Formats: sequence, structure tokens, C-alpha cells
Amino acid sequence: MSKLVCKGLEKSYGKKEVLHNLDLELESGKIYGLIGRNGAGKTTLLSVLTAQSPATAGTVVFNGKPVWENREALEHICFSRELNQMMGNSANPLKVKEYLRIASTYFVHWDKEMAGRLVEKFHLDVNKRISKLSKGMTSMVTIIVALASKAEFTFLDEPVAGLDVVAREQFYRILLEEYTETGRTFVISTHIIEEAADVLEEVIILDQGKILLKENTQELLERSYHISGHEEAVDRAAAGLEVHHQERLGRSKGVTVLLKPGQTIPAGYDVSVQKLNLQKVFVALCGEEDAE
Amino acid sequence: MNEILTQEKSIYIQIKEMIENDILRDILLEEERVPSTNELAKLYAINPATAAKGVNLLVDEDILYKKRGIGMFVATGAKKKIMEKRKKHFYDDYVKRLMAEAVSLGITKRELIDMIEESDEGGEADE
Amino acid sequence: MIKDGFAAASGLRKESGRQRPGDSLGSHVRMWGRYAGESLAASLGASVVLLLFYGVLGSSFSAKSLGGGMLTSLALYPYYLTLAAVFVQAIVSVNAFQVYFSVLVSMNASRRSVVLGAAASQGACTLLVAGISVLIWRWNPSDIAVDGIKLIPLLAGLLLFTTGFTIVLGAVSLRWGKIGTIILVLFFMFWGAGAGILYAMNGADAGMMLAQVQDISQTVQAAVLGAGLILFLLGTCFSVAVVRKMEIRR
Repeated sequence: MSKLVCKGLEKSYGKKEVLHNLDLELESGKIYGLIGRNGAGKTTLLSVLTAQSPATAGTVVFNGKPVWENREALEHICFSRELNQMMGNSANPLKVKEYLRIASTYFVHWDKEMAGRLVEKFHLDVNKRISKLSKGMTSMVTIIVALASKAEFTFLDEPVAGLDVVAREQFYRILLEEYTETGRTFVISTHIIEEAADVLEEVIILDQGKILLKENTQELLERSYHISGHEEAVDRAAAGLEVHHQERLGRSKGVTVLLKPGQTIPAGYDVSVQKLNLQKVFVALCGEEDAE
Repeated sequence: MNEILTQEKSIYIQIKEMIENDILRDILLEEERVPSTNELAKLYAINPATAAKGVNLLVDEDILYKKRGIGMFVATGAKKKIMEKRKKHFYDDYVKRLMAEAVSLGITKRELIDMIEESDEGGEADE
Repeated sequence: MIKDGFAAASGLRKESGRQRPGDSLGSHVRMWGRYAGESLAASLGASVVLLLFYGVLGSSFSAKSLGGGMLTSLALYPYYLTLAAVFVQAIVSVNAFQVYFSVLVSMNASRRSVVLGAAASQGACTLLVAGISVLIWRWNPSDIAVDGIKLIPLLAGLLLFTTGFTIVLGAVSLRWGKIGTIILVLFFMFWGAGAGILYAMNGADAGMMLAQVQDISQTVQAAVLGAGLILFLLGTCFSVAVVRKMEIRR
């Protein structure tokens, strides 16, 4: 079982600390989701994990080997991110086919046939310059590189941003098809949480440069509930439980609770108890907190 | 199969119930092969591990069994098992809620029984 | 440098037993070989343009001493080739670093190997230019050609020095952006002005200019060649250090 492990990871830009003392262990054979608000540090984390950025402190190690400038370790890794349509002050002169050719040269396990199939499926014009592509098309190039790289650990930074809903659903299906066939590890950061929730085996929530939680998605959802009703009843029912995010309107109150192992919501209170979806749990955890 | 997943229940439980429904509707017959977890995952666009969780629950309840190297199959007597199981839970799943709602609306037991006798759906239950 | 590539390549082959041979080294040769070919073509193209330009201008000056404008131009072709190669290389180097560096590193090439690949391909181009010059001078022997061939070590040394400089320029522009571009512009002005001044100082007669330097001894030439080579290597090492910890953003 391959592992990508980072310990004590810190990343600062000048005085600004973006990642704080982060520990993360990624195992092979899973689809991970990385979610977090803008500025939480998702792209930075993915960058550092894949040796695109140097860490300020801490280590990133793949099967015992540090990844920085280490081609041996990096052969198993692919970070496909948003394409640069501008390079420096001028437009990116590369054509899609040149970009794919470079990818096929440098990714040792590149699957040319798959790349060709996906290009056709997405109706991509490979003779177009990258600077002339629409946002949706650049996303598609990103996705093609990620999938055809056949890397053991593949990271995608917001792969569906810019895709319309039909294309997004296509992506999830293509992803699952590839995953069921090869069992590669995928780490996907996304803002479109609810759509991706069913596909993610584990979810990693990043908040202000720290990992808030890393948990099996279904298990997280099974211990998350929304309790609502008269504020007094709600307070009593939720006593002793981990409460996040309150909403109030008059005497009515609603809270989100996350149960710890062994905890249950006490019966006998006149409250509505509802299940939550991943997006709602995320907002409850990372949205602005009311003072408790 | 081909129902849409909702947010109300855990996904793997929905998968489990969908397979049970299909067994009850004779879409899946006993001793017939059930779609693999990968096929289910692709069909519903969910993670295979989640699909597997639902399938494994059915295996634990002896509704499905695994033939090594071939796949999952519907066990003989599965239909009967499912119906008995659901009958047992009928009280919890439906009657309790019916009663609670009736009480909060001030409907008496007598009125409830009258309603049941009036309803057309009760026809099969008499047999 | 190349040895490291070989070592890595063979070591990796043993470890993973992959079907695709020649990983790091192979991919770089493929990548940079193609790029080198493209930039060489650009150099040749630019030099032909320069040739035509100066050929038209120069014919009026040199017709007297050497007879026949076009023939003279041809004899001086390698001179233009060199000029053009230097100009084109500077532009191409900076441009290549800007475009390819981030793409290659984002596809898991090590930063070090990208710089080395660029340096190797540009160095090879440079020596190729010198080689082409020798061929042209052999094919069209004249007084100038004979001197030209004698001066090849000198020429190669200067070219290598310039190439090393363009590599550094590329790396600097990558890391320090605008400042690097400013330096590039100043560099152009230096070259253009220097070449123009030399040309004017010698009565706008390239033949006479070559005649003045034809007596440079072999030792001096070897020294220039050696110095050029060393400065090229130093420039490359410096560039590697410059990009060592560079971050790829988007």
C-alpha cells in the first residue's frame, strides 16, 4: 500500500502563514475530497504535496522518499491544476496538442489512447492555443491530463470549475469508471460539494490552514444531525453534544450537531431531527460562527 | 434500480433498500446475479466503497450471498425474508408515525379505524 | 550532469522494471531536442534575413576591395549567422524559460533538469552554428573563409560565453521578471551598439576587420575557447541555483 505522508507541514508567504503544522496521510486506492473555503489553503496544500511549491517547514514523503525534486517519487504523482492562459505578461503560446505531447513525454505511465478518447469525447480542438480556450475547455484539458497520466496519486484542483452541469456529471462518471478499473488514488478539491459528495470516499476539510477533519464521508454524515424546534427543547436535546452553527427565528432554533462515538440524541424532546448533506455539514463547520 | 438517491437516508442504506425493492418486484429473481459494486457505483455515480457497504449489509442478512470469482447472487427465500423483515418494522416505520400525527391532530382511534376501513388500499390486506 | 541523468535512468529501470525505457534522460532529449531544432531554425531564418539586409547594404562598401556584392555577402554569411544566432538565442532563451519551465516542472520534471536541458540544447545549437560556419567557409573558400576557419576557436568561445549569458538571462527573467526583461533590453543594445561600432570603426569593411584579427595566435584562441566554455558552465550552474526553490503558481 503506497502512502503519501506529510508531517508538520508549514507554508508561509513572507509573513503570512498559510498552512500551519499540518499532518496528513493519504492512502492508495481511495477517492479523497478536499474542501475548504476560499483562502483556506487548498491549492497551497496540493502544491506542496506534489512538490510544485517548497514547504517552509515539515516533510512530504512518498513511501519513505521525500518528494521535493525527486523524480522517482514524482513518477507516481500527478498534480493537474488550472491551466495558465497567460505566461508572465504575454499569452501562453502553447497549443493544446503541444501541451499534451509534453505531458505524454514526462508522465511515464501516460495513456495516449485514453487521452485521445477523452479529447474526442469533449470535442476539444487540439490545434487551438491554450490562451484562446474557454474556461470550460481549459478544465477539460486539466481533466484529460489528470486521467491519462495514470499516476498512482492524482491530484485535481477544482477540476469542474468552469464546466456546465452536464459536463460535470460526465466528469464524475469518467472518474468513477477510471477508479473502478484501476483503483488509483484521487484527491479532488472542489467548491461544488454536494455534487461530489457521493463520489468521495473520504473528505478532508481544510479551514484556515489547518485540517478540521478527515473522515469517511458516509460516517461523517451518519453522525451529523440538524435539531430544530423550540429553543428550550433544542438546547436540552443538544446538551453535551458538539454543536455547530445556530439559526434562530423568534422562539424557534436550529442547530447542527456532530455526535461523538457512543453519543446519541436523547429521545423524548419535542424536536425535529433531520439528516444533513455534506454541503450543509461543511457550512455548519466552516461558516461564520455565532458566539455560543 | 434507477431510482434517484435522496438526502434523507444514508446512501448505502438506500442502495440496500433499492435492491430489496427490486427483489420484491421480481426485477431480481432468486439465484440470479446482482450487479457488482462497481456496476452499482457507476450506475448511481457513487463511490464503490459506499455501494459495497450496502451490499454487505444484505449479505449479513442472508439476502444476498457471494459466489467466489463470479459475483453476488440473490439467496433462495430472500423475498420472503425481506417481507418478514419489513413487516416487523412496519409498526416502527409507519404505525408509530401515523399514531403520533393522529394524536397531534386530535384524531381518535375510532376515527382512524373508520378511515382504514374506508380506504380502497386496504383490500389486499384482508386476504 | 548528463551522468546523473544516466545514473538515474539506469537505476530507475532496475527498480521498477518499466516497459518504457530511458525515462528522465529520454524525455529531456525528446523535449529539448525538438526545442533546439526549432530555435536553430529560427536562428537560421533570422540570419538569412540579416544576410539579405546587409548584403544589400554591404555590397556598396565592399565591392571595391573584394568584388561582387553577393559573393561577399555569402563569404560573410557565418558572421551574420553568428549575430543572428546570438540575438535569436537571447529572445528564445528567455521565452523558453517563461513558457516551458512552469509547464515541465508542473509535469514533474525537476527544476534542475529543466535548466540543464535548456543549457545543453542551447550549447549544442551554438556549436552547431560554429560547425555550419566552418562548412560554409570550406564550401566557399576565399581569403575571408580561410581566416574564418582559423578563428573558429575564438568564435566558438565567444558564442559559448554569450549562450551562457542567455541561459542566465532566462533563469533571471523567470525569477525576477521585469528586471530580467530590462537587462535583456540593455543586453540587446550593448550587442547591437558594440557590433555597429566595431563595424563603423573599421571603415564598414568586414573583410578588413577579419584581416586585423587573423593574426591572433592559437594559444589566445584556445584560452578564449576555454574561458567561454567555463563561463558557459558557470552560467548554467548559477541558473540552476537561481531556480532551485522556485514555486510553480498556476
